[in-house]
Amino acid sequence: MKTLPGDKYLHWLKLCGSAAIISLSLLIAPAAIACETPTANNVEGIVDGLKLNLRGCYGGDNDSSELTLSVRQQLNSAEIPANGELKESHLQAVEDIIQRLVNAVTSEAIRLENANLTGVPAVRSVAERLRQEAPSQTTDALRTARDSDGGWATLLDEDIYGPSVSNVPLMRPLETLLEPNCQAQPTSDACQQATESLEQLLRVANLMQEVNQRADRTLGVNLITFQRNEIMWDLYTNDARVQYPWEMLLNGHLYQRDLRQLERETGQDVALADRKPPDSQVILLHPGIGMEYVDEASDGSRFEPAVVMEWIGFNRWEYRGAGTDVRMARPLGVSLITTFSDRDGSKNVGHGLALHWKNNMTTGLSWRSGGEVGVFISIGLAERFSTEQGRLDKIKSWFGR
Amino acid sequence: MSKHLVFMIHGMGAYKKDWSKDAQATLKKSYDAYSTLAKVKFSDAYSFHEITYDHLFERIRDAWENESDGIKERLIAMGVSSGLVQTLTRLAQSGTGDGFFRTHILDVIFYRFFPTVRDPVRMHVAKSIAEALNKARNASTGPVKWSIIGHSLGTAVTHDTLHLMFASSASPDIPPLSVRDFSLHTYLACANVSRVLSKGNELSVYSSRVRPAMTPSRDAVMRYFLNAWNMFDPFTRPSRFEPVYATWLDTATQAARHAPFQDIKTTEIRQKNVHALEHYLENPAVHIPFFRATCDNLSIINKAEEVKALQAYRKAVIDAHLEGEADELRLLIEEHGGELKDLLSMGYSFHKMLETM
Repeated sequence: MKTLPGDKYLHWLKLCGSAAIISLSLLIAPAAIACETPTANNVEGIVDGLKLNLRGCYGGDNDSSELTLSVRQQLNSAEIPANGELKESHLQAVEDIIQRLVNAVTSEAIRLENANLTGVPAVRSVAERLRQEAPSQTTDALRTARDSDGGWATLLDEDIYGPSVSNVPLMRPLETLLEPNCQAQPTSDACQQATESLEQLLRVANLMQEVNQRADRTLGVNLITFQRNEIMWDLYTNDARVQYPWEMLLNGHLYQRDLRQLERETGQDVALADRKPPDSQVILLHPGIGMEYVDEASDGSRFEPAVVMEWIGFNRWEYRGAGTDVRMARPLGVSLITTFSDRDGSKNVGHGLALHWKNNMTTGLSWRSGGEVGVFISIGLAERFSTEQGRLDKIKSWFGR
Repeated sequence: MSKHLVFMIHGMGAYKKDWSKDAQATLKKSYDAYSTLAKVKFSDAYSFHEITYDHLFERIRDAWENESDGIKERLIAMGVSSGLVQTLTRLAQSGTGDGFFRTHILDVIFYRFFPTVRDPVRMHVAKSIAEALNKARNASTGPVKWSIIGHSLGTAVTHDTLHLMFASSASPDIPPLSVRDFSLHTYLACANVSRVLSKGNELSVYSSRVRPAMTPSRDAVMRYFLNAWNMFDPFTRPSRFEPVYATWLDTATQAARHAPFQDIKTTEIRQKNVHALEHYLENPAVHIPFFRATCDNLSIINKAEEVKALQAYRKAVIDAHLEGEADELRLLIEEHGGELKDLLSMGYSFHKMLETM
């Protein structure tokens, strides 16, 4: 294709512009971490460099080492499910990754040994510990026992590396590796070798922690439990009958009493995973509104709005469904009621019994001192956020009024 | 480096989506001022997840309001102006409206006295954290680290949630959440009210697992606990959180060079709302320990930078000329005791002060 002279200028102009923007952005942007093996005139300086490099250079985004790239590739291709249900293929992948990490640490031990440097036994102990954490070497009991060892954390401020037993870490990297090899000659080849070995150990610790997190079963199981419990609590709050403050206090007290009972039985706090909402509610002094039909009342006054007071009652239901597909089933309740209405030809006050259906409808019968019987109906819940008139109109429409 | 997840948990009051943006911006501004720290961009270093639970209180207030409004309308139509139903309706409506009582005080009352309201809050917070951790572990490069910044009522919520989410289930099918793999890294509690809210309640703050340790375990689920409180913040004074280190922390943790527990008392007032989360975070005495802890690096901000930042902040405090407000707040604190009623009373007075200032 033929290029016009004007296009050429435009092309150069674009190139110059891009170069200027890149240069400017380099000047403005903070200097990124270079991820180079730190060197300094003293051990403290080297440690500061290592701590800085811990922000992404060892097993992180900025790490392009062969070990990190291969472990990450293995991790991704293993496709470990989020719920932590590890199949044989996943376990084999974790086994292979850990073996790769063991080999990497063992190689460092050999390098240190060949260079006649201090710290070889400590590095070998890291390799051994890694080996013990391979799935083939681990039981559920061991896994539980290790839960309080701190995992593969690295705290250079405290000179701590790897899992601890009785607050004694697997390794003290500065004391056993860096200081003996660097204290006298911080710029020597020996110090350089020790620093590089420590870098590899830091990388291995981070990768090991990442592998453990990825293969962890507990997070997925607890997450599903929290999700399910939250849905159940939403159903309790939104779909069960509205509770007034005094009813919430009473039902809260009963819920808390059940928790305490459970605590006494198990001898421990009731975990969040076990805190499911109640499957019933006590109704107490609960005013509401609805429509009441009294046949004996005068024409035009038979079907009238009424205020109903539920003195005491009970409502219960079941939670059904697996996992997060949970719903309320068979809600049913009963209350002792008094209705108040303003009508001609009949007493205004009636006493009776109401049944609650599916949390959103209440039907009842009320008896008056004159012997008249009223039929009461109200809707709640689904219409919780509608106006009083809206609710009454809806009931009226059911009866063609 | 995978980004350090920071969960933001709000205090009492009305909170909507993006409520934490100002606090994040405050932290970013502070972060960018430290040269070594800023070698990694703020947005690459931290990923913020705000957790909002106010809607769980709001839905109850709305239900009360709607339910009682209907009855009130009917009573008016029937010409009834007194009696039990009228009284109950009025009682139900006392928690409604837009005043300070509804938006702030009632949150505290809900959380402290209504178990069927506070457990859904804890569940929501735990679920939000677990969801984010689960997502991060599958997407990130490098181990997942996570921290919490809790503010005011959010410190009580954080305390209870952490304690209960790491507790062992009675069900053999639900293993306890692994402390080894997912312990909290840093907990920054700003205006910690967890102790006063735990009084007479089910969980005691000094015997819970919400404590730091060099080696986190089922009894101490975090590495760093930073407890920031301003001496003029009235919310922090009743039954202040002040554990006795000798019994609360193990010996190795007490001896640590990079202190896992730091009680950060601040004395500066730079804005009238001394209780605001941003007011805490802008103070170098608060954000420097947070950055150091989340980076596991005491020297990430050196001593000279720290001194310079503190001096600059104190100069800004002097320029703000809020000595009069400090005197008023001091008086307010001196007039009150250490119970929950004092917290609520001071909260109300503080709100009135802010309105008149």
